[in-house]
Amino acid sequence: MKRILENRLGIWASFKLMGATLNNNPERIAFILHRITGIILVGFIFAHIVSTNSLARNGWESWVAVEVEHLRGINPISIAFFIAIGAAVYHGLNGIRLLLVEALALWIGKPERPKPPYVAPSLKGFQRKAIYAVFVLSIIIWAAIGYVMFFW
Amino acid sequence: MRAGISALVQYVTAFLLVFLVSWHLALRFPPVYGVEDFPATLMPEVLYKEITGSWFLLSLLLVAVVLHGINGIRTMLLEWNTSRNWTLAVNAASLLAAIVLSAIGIHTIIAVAPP
Repeated sequence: MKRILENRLGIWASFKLMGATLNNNPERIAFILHRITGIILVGFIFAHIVSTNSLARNGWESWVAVEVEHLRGINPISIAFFIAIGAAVYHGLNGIRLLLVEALALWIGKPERPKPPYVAPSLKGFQRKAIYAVFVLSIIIWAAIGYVMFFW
Repeated sequence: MRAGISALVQYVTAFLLVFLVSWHLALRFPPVYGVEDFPATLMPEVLYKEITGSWFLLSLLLVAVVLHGINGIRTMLLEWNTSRNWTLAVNAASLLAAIVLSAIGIHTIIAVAPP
């Protein structure tokens, strides 16, 4: 007998897009994106905390030469910042939705007996629109931040 | 850490971070300091005033972001495997990472010299 069952996906289930569109379920896509952006942000923020420490260790001249000048124009560092800020915008907006849905139980409709075609009752309330609003707002705010970073 | 406490930490820090990260990003908007572009908001005179004037908010942001980020990764890693040794190792590594990163961040805030 195999030690691990085939359908026991463990942590990888968090990143499998399979099932993301099943039953027209945008909540699954929102969840996967929340995890991916969370991992991007943890990596970025840890690097950010360590790299900004050069301010205390090496002084302002090094700060301007290494940090500030690399954020001018389009280059790998400024693009990394842009991606991290995009991740933060999505993670934040979706986080606000999650606080309202999970902590305050808003927008999830009323419980009901499951019946075909088994659309999640939690998506029958305002939540489905809220998820789409998070997607659209994230792109708009990210684009606006991109304009400020690269074209201001 | 009990799952309920872990979730509470995530919700409380998430609520704080909505405001603190918005504030942190808004300060990089050029008109806030009347400078010409985004990198100019990171210049020594601007940044030193910001760090010394808003040290409490920056420290709060640091602690909230470290707790939220590490607790999030810790939750994902604990979903991977449920054995006792793995749980202990993940919890210990999370605690260590939180202490080290908070110390580095606090050092940045308190040790910055005037430009």
